[in-house]
Order: sequence, then structure tokens, then C-alpha cells
Amino acid sequence: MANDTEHTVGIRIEPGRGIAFFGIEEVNRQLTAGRRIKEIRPGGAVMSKVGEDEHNVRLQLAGCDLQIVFE
Amino acid sequence: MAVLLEAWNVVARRTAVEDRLEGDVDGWFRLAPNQTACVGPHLCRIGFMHGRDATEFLRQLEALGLRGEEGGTYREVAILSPTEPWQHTCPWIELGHYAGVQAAWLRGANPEPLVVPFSYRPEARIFDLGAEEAAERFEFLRREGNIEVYRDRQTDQEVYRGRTTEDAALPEDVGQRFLRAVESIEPLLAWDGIPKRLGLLERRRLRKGIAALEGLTGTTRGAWRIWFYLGMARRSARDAQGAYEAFREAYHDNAEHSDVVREYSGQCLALGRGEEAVALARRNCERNPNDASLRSNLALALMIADDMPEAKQQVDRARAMEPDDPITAALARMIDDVLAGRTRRPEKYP
Repeated sequence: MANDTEHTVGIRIEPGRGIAFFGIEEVNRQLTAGRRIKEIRPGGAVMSKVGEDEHNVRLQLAGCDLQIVFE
Repeated sequence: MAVLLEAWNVVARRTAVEDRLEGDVDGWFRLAPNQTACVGPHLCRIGFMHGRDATEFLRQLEALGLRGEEGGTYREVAILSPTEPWQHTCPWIELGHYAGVQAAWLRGANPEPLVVPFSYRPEARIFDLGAEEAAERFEFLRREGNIEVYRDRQTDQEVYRGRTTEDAALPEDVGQRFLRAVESIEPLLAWDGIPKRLGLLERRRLRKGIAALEGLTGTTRGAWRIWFYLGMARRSARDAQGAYEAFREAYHDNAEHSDVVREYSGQCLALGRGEEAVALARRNCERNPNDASLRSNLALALMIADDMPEAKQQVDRARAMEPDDPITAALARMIDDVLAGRTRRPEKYP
């Protein structure tokens, strides 16, 4: 949660393990309490390190986030 | 961390998986007989569409050292429905609605985030019905590899059930013990629904046979045969409620077999559970429309359920199909007598 009006939801993907969803329950709780969503904004991509050599670090996309903005 | 729950779920503590399985959680995925495995920091989960498949997988994990049910409590690995542990307690798990789905998480741990398998599709519709509801709604059509295909009578659409085990014969060792138990008690069984008068030694033999069959009910394949004979044996020992429970288990395991449906229905009649018997007998008639004895059974069930007009219709149909059958003729006379007020309507049978 960024602040009282912004909430982060996101997914993390672990190949071969499954998909993890973050933040859904908190957003559902706010909606149940009667709050309304004003805006949805892109969040950041999440990268995971899969290796490195002398010159490069190898990363792969492991998930991403969205910002949910309430009124 | 919470894991998704759908249909039948085998859920294990991740620490136990890491300790007992070769390759820790990679071992979990290697063992998974379908594509529904997922893991989180605390729990490992695999989903199944049939309870027997879940049980078989649990047995496999137990053979590898994970502790399943002990003393009525799941220890390290459990079978869970979407709403509760199956048959035993499971104090290390919490279940509930989380992030829009039914889920389980380690008791005391934060359920965030929700973990689902890659194969999860929220739009996919999974029916979660009891054996009775499922038998009423779905008609088995065929098996395609490890997929069972049914027709949904409400929508006339095909629906599917993925399987991970075969409904084959009993495992060999269980099968031999089962046959020995059945051979010892078969002459004592009440195939006509009315327990025989047994002597002291026969009653003892029957009790031993019942105990032997009860000891085999934990098998995961072909268990309906054991429950069916256990129902026959308990009925013969005048344990009507125990027989009912055994036939119900047989039906739960194999709702397609007409003998299972007939005896389960018959035991409902013995306990005066008329409406339950009518539903079963009606379904048996739908599946076997030319079997006069099954139609006669339906007429009897309707009489016990106090639907005398339809009882009369059904017994007349049965008589038209087999005019010389003495049992149906006797039932027809009884129904006529009840309708004419000459006899009081029976509330159970026998």
C-alpha cells in the first residue's frame, strides 16, 4: 500500500512454481467498505537475476505491479 | 501466503516436502500427476477432480515419508475441499475466502500473496457437486485417455473430468483379502433384503467377515466393491443404519452400477427414507428403461414415499413388461389394497 488512497496490486511469476497475486485482498476490502476506484496506473516491472558474467548481469521479467487509486 | 483451493486438494507443509522429497519442492512438481501444482513459502498444493485421485496421491506421499492422517488429524499433508479438511481435522491450516477465491494458508501466517498454478483460469467453471447431485445432472458418455466425458442434462453440453488414476480392479493384495472375506460370508448374505436366521457360529463368522471388510475400506481403487459387500454383510447382521452408510459409500464411489443403486435404494426403504429411495430408483429406471424389476422397485419406493398415484402407474408399467413376475404381482396387490383402504400404507420395507 502506497498510502491511504493508493494500493499496489501485482503478480510475481516463478517459472515452474506458480503465480503469486499480491494486494487483491486489500483492494477487495476497500471495495467492500464502499470506496470507489478513481484510477488505475501502471506500476513497475519486477526483474529477477538469473546469472551474470564479467560484463553483464542477466535478468528476466518476474512480475509487475499496478497502482489502484481510490477516491 | 495462501494457495488456491478448487475441488479436491492435496496440501502439504513445504518444510515437510523439502525434508522428505528428493529435490525438495522440485520433487513435488515431478510427482504431480497433473498441471495443477503450485508452491508458496509455506504450503505446496495439487488439485484433483476426483476424491479417489487425491487419496491415491496422498498415499503416494505417505509412502515417501510425509505424514498424513494419524489419530484423526492430518499431520504434514492433507486432503482439503474448498471449505474444510476432508474427513479429519487439520489444525495447521486455515481456510477461507481470500483475494476473491477459496484458499488455504498456514495457520498464523499472513495469507498474502495468493498463489495459483499456471494452469489456473478464473473463467473455467468447476462443478463441486455431491455424488447424488452429480449423478442426477451428468450422464457418463465416454473416457478419452485420462479425461471422463459427461453430458450435462441441464445444458446438453459436454463437460469433462480429468482423472489421474484408473477405476481398475482392487490392488492385488487387497483383492485377495477381499475375496477371502467375501467367500467366508457369501452364504450368509441377505440378497433378498431380509436377514437370515443365523446360528451362533454363523453370526461369529459374519462379524469376522465384516471386520475384515472394514479393514479394507481404506483402499483407493475399486473401493465400491468393498463397501457394497460391507453393506450386504451389515444388512445380514441386522445393522440397518450401518448397511445404509456402506451402500451410500459404494454409491459415492460408483454411482453408475445398477446393483449399487438398487441396494442403496433398498436400504433407504428399510430405514423409511422414501424420497431418497425414489430419486435413486428413478435414476436406475432412466438408465435401464426395459428392466421391469427396477421399475417395480421404483413403485415400491413411491409407496414408501407416500406417492400412491405414481406408485400405481409404475407398478402397472412393470406388470405390463413382465406379467408373470410374482413379486411385481404381489406388490401390485399391496398397492391396490392401500389405495382401497384395506391395508395401511407401509412406511418402510421390509
